[in-house]
Amino acid sequence: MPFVRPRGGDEIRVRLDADERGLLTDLVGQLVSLLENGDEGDPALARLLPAAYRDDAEAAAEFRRFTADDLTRRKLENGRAVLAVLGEPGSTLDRAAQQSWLRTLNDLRLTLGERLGVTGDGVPAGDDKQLQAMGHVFDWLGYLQEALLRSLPKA
Amino acid sequence: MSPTLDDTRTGTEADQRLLTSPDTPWVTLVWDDPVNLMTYVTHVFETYFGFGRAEAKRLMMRVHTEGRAVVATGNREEMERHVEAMHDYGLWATLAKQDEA
Repeated sequence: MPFVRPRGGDEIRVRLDADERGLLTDLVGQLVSLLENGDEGDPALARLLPAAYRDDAEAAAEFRRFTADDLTRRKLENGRAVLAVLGEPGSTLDRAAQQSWLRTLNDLRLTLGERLGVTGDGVPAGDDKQLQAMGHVFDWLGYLQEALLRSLPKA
Repeated sequence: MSPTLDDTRTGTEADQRLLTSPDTPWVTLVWDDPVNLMTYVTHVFETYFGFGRAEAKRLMMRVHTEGRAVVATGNREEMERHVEAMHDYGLWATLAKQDEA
């Protein structure tokens, strides 16, 4: 169980081993770089900051102009909050950190899902070893997110 | 937004559109996405919109089976706030006029 909430409490203990912490630190670091320096045409970035209007490019561009910086800043704050916990083994997640973790795990899955071409049928099969490894990471992130959702305290 | 005193004019200056074309409501739509977990989408609907578990699940299933669902109705500014919040969570959301959605 990667996340454990002691009975009756609000805080959640993170139980990841050193390898898992290392992998997650690496992935969140990549997400932070993407948000900081990503190419605007990158489909993964487009998925993290999607168009708010489907059939009105002008309104979508205006919405983006007014919201993209704040959205990006909040996503970066979430990612850095996750990195802070990962850098201190044994620390716990309060309610704010729980939300940062949920959203960052989701942003990681969106980014990786875009890279892998995930569809409604899941991760595409293939012989490419690197893609297979990324597929396993994608599934693991889903397992982590699901486990965190199950361990959340009642609202 | 409520009109301020400055906006409240009298006589022929009054904005005729208020009488002839009442504001069409806007809606917030959430679209199906191959990545987002069903449990996560339900969680977002519960925590952000304050829906009960059953209603949150019903809306999530509508997104999943019909490809999209209306999750809120109101004025344009409110819907833009909701859409931004959904993007914060990583959900794929858009807004549109109700009669064009």
